[in-house]
Formats: sequence, C-alpha cells, structure tokens
Amino acid sequence: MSAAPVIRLAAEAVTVRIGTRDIVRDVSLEVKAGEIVAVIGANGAGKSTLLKVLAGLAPPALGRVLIEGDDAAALERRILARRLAYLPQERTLSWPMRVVSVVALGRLPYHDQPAAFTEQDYRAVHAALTAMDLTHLADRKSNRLSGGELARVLLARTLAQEAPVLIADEPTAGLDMAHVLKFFEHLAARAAQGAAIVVAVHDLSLALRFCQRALLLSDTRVLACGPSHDVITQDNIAQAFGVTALVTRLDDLPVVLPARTLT
Amino acid sequence: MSIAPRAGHDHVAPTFAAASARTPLLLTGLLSLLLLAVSLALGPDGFGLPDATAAARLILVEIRLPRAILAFLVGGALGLSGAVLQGYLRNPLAEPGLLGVSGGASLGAVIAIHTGAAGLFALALPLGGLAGAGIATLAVVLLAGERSQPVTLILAGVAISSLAAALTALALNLAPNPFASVEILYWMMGSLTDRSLEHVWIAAPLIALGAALLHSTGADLDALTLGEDAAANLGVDHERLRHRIVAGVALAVGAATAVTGAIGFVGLVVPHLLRPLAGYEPRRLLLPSFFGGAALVLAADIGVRLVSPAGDIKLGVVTALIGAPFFLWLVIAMRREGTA
Repeated sequence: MSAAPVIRLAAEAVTVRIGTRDIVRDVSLEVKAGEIVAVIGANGAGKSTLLKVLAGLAPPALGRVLIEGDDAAALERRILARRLAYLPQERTLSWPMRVVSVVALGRLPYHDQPAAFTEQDYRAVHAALTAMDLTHLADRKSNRLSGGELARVLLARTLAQEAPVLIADEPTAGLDMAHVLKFFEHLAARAAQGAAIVVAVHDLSLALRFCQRALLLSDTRVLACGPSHDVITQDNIAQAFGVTALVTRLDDLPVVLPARTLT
Repeated sequence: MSIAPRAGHDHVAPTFAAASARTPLLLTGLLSLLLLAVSLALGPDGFGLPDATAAARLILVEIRLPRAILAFLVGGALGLSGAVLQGYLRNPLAEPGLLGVSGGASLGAVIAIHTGAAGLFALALPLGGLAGAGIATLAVVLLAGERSQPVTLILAGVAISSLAAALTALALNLAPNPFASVEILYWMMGSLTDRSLEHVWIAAPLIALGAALLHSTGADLDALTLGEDAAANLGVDHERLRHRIVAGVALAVGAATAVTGAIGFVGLVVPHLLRPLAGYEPRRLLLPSFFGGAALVLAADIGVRLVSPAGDIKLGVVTALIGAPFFLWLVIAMRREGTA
C-alpha cells in the first residue's frame, strides 16, 4: 500500500477581498493528487475570484494558498506556471493565430521560444490537440473557429502546460455534449495519473459524476464542502440557488434536475 | 532556423515547421539591406559610388553614411516599437507616439530652436529632443502610477502628448521671428537632411538599447494573446513587462524623434502590413517590423532625394502620404472581409 496521496493544492483560511468588500470568507480546502474538486454556486457567488486566488494570480486578503507545499505568493512565476495551469472564464484570443501556435503557448513556462522545443514539448502539444479533438484543425486560423472550437483550443493550451495542478473556470461552457464528456473523461484520466484538479461548473450532474468533492459557495461563505454527494443535495441547492431540484440517479448515473424557482 | 519535422507526431511537426518559417524576417532583412546600399550609392547626380578621391570619400562617410544609418535605425525603432505596443495593447491601431515620447521629444527640440540654443551649437536640437522625451516618459509613468493597466498607461500617454502638442503650438505661436517659425515647422515634419555622424553617435546606442529591451518582450506578448490572467498563469510578470516596454519605447522612439523629428505612420503601418506574414504571432512580428520599418524609411528617404534633391520635401510628409492611402486600403479590405 502506498503512502497517502500528496496534497497538491491547499487553501488555508483564505479570505478574498475586492476593495473593502469580502468576496469569499474563510475558505479552507485541500486538493490531493488524483482528486477533482468542483467549485459550485450561483452567479456572483465568488467562484471565479476564488479560483484566481487559488491559481496564485492574486494574493488573498487573509490566509494563504499553498501549491505543492509552497506559498503561491512567494513562488517564482515560471515555477508556478509549471506547477499550475489556469483557464480563465473569458475566452479571449487577441490575434487570429493558428490553433497549433495557440496550444503551443502552453509550453512557454518551459521554453522562451518555439525554436528551443524538445521532443517532450511536441508530445505535450500533440497530446493536448488529440485530447481536445483538434488535430484536424491544427493549421486553422483561430478566427475561423466556432465558439465551442475556440473553447477547446484554449483548454488544450492548459493541457499542454502539463502542470500537476489544473484550475479551470467553467471549462465546458459552450461545448457540445460530446466534447463536454470528452473533456471530463480527460480530466479523470489526468487525475488518475496524479493531477489535482479544481473546476468551476454549473452542471451539477457532471459535478456529481466526475468530481469526488465539491465546494459550494453561497453568500460570501462556504455553505458546504466535502464529498460531492454530501454537498450537492436538495437542501443545499435550495439554499444556494433558490431552486427546488430533483437529485437522483438514472441508469446508475447521477442526475440533478432543476424543477422550479423558490420565491 | 526552422524546426525539422519529427517522426511520430505527424500532425504537429509539419505545422510547426510552417509556423517557424523565417520568411518575413528574411524578406524584410534583405530588403532593408538592399535599400541601405541604394541609399549609400545615391548622390545628387544619380546613382554611383563617388570615385576614390579624398573629397569623395568625405561625401560618402560624412553625408551619405549618417543619413543611411539614421534612416535604418529610426525606421527600425519605429517599426519595432509599433509592433511591441500593438502586441502589448492587443490593438492593431496602437503606434509609437501613444506613450507621449515622440510628443515630448518634439517639444524639447522645438524649445531648443525657440530659445536659439540650436543656433549656438548643432547638437542642441537632438539633445533637447532627448531631454523632452525623458521628461515626457517620466511624466507618463508618474501619472499612470505603479501597477497600472495598459489602458491607464495609454490615457496618461495621450494626456502628456496633448500637453506637449499644446506647448509646441505655443512655442510656434511665440516664435521670436519668422525664420524660427519656419525652422520649427520644417523640423516638425521630420527629415534626415544634413544629419552628421554625431547624430548617429547620439542615437545609435540608445536605439540599440531600446530595441534590445523591446525585443526581449516577445514571449510575453505571445502569452498576452490569451488575456492578462492566462498570460500571468504562463509566467508573465506584468509589472516587469510594462517597465521594459516603457523604457524600450522611450529610448528607441525618444532617440529616433530627437534626431529626425516626428516621422508618422511607420510604426503603425509596418507591423500591420507584416502581421499576416508572421502568422499573427506577436513575437514573430518583432524583428520583421524592425527591418520593415527600416526599409520603409530608407525607401521614403530615397524617394525624397530623387524627387527633390534640394530637400524641399520632408521625409515625414512622404511617410504620411504613403500612410494615409494605406488606411483607405485597410478600410476597403476590412469591408470586403466583413461581407465575405
């Protein structure tokens, strides 16, 4: 029996503030190798802001974030970039670069320029393109892509980064159902290889199915945090979203069906 | 250098090979060197190198060489700065004047003319320009503040540019005599006429340093294509990047404007024109924009000398004459793209 899995990402009593307003208060979370954690909550609950802080992009007002044991605020940027890949919610791409070039940006933490690419870099880019079903689009200019295709390209960039920690903010928004499934299956495979993954999602059925644990944010605090099936319950959904929902299983798959809004 | 296709990754390898092709760099590099040679060979009586007499050598070294080198360096500084700023601001309409540097340099030189310092010693003009560029940059940096966003930086640059333009107009308004007014007006049009090797010695080291700083931003600009947060996740230090860009533009554009006056459109048009050739990748656009800018200014200067050997037509006027139709063409191309 091997030792307990390593803790890749830890938030210790993190409070996030914008100006003088608390966005999220007192979040403590440990994400171990092999785990996928869902961050859920209503619009404006602070999911994105929390993810940015977990990704080391902004310092917390209180508490600290540890990435593979080191304080994110003190880590050198390039080192942090090799340990953690982050996918922002907004899908921007300023120039119509080719798909393969966009995905190759994920290798910047390893090489300053593509001319220095090694076999491993090519393998990583190729694996990311394959995982996101993009090999046939590799040469396409990115302004000739549909919204869902662009989302997959930007996702592939984070995959090419090959970081042991992945934080993705609503990664599957805008993807068709086949690619949503493919993405989560890829995440599960990554986790099985030892990655620690945090995703903000709105599809609670997927959260139940693919994420071992969930963190539910509501009203600037953590309403619940633990195994997904303990967090994603009728009561918690009612409290956090103001919606009565059906939480059940169909054909052995978890299903969460919103029924009606509470007033 | 191109990346050789690798076995086993059929899809990736050939596309990378295409991406790393150095066509735009070779193209602009060769073109600028060719035009540099033409510029050296072009005399008042047409083409041809002067014979081997001492006087002829003097003409080549003291008159044609500084002119050709300055055209090359100034064009390069403007092209590269434009490419870096467009990449940094992720906006194809950004240009080197945005940070207030060229406005400040112009004002400094105009003050040198206005006060008569330029009449006392020849280098008062470029030195005044450098001082103006330095002060303007400092003002922009202080105004924008630490940890500023690109937009704040640009607003500060626009504010300082406007102030510099107003003060330049005031200096022209209060010019001591008509000759000074004409001199100020001519200087503001931008020109390479009668520049000496001293001008080269003043400008070249500063432009080289600025260009080196600007060129070092390539990887960060590539990452910025994904937005500021994703870039930060890829290891970009936004503070450091901003410092390098402000310092690089201040040095390169400040020195360029100080020796030649404001030469418009080069920094805007050149990166724009070369971007498709560089696969829209900001880093791959940098060096070609340097050489492309050099080629454009050399070509414009050669044109000026052919059309009016007496120096009646100013260089900045010609680049503007080239630049404006370019924008007309751009609008038409965009409309076609939109309807296609």
